[in-house]
Amino acid sequence: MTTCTQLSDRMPEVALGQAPWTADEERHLATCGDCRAEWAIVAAASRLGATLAPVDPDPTAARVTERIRHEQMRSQVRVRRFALLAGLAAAAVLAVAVWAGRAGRGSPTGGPIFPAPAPVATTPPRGSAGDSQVQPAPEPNLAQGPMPSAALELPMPELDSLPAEALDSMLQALDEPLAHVGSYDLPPDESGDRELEQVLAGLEG
Amino acid sequence: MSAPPTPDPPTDAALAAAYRLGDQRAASELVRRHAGAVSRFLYSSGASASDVEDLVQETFFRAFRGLSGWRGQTSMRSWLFTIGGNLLRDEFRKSKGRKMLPLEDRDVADRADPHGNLAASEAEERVREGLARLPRLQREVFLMRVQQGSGYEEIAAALGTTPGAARVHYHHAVKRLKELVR
Repeated sequence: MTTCTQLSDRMPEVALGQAPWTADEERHLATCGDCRAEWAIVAAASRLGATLAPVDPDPTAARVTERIRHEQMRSQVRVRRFALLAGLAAAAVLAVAVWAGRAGRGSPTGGPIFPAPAPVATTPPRGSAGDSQVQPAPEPNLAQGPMPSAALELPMPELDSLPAEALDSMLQALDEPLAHVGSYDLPPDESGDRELEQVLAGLEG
Repeated sequence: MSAPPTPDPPTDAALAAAYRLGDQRAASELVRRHAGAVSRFLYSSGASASDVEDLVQETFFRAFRGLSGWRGQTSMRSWLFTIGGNLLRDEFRKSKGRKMLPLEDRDVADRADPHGNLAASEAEERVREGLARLPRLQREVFLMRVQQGSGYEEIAAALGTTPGAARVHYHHAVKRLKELVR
């Protein structure tokens, strides 16, 4: 005598056409409403999607493998790009480390790595010996290691490239506004001296 | 003089190995063997008929991409069902819970069969709608059992559960479907 559980276990293979009902199972089915309800569900579910359009295997497989190949290529490009960026970053870090090491050796006292700004060409006071000469910035001491490019560029190359005559002319033009300053003879301020003498005289009695 | 015996068709495992070595025909053969079952599984699980072809392609894409992950402990078809189930879950999440069972799918069979000989029955549609409302594990156990005839051991291996639990899921699914289809 077939039980409900036994019939339930047999339903999928009968629904898929893999086996027929036995006579005993058919009798059970005819008399058990619960099993008939289950059989209706299983039979319907086994037919679901049977009328869907079939998938064409060759184009589907071709599209799938093409997508996978494309994805692998993109992945390789990403890996190469990352390796390139990592290499550049490592090179930059290495360069900075080498430069810092050299600069550190150049300032053993632990002072600033960057040297003090080189003196800029200035106009000396009138009457001084270097009246019309520009004092050039000292040459960077290469033995102490590289210097920042800003320091190495002084003095300005434009001034260096000027001929001596043009430079003198420029300096004279710069001096002209100041030329009359020296002619002002300020009146001697003797009031302070007189006050001082009065104070001293008072002290001396 | 008898004809030479026809060689046995290659197993899924042999085809998978051939594909991994670059054999495109092996990929086509795997699709030919399993695409129909995967289509029906996805459709029965709630995918709309118009989406099934794309979902099948996506399922095979994920499968072939991760072929090294298939160790043969379950059949390839069960493995594909698992991938298809995951794909449907992802799609469902992407659609933020929007129901994936459009009403126009009711007449898919009528369109496919203009003479109406194979019109989709109302019972099938009710079962399909009921399946869409089942918990995922119950639905997948039920479909693997009634559409593929898989045993509980294989279902359990494919879905990461025990044969006993798979049996319980199946009977819960049947009970729930009886209530929903009634």
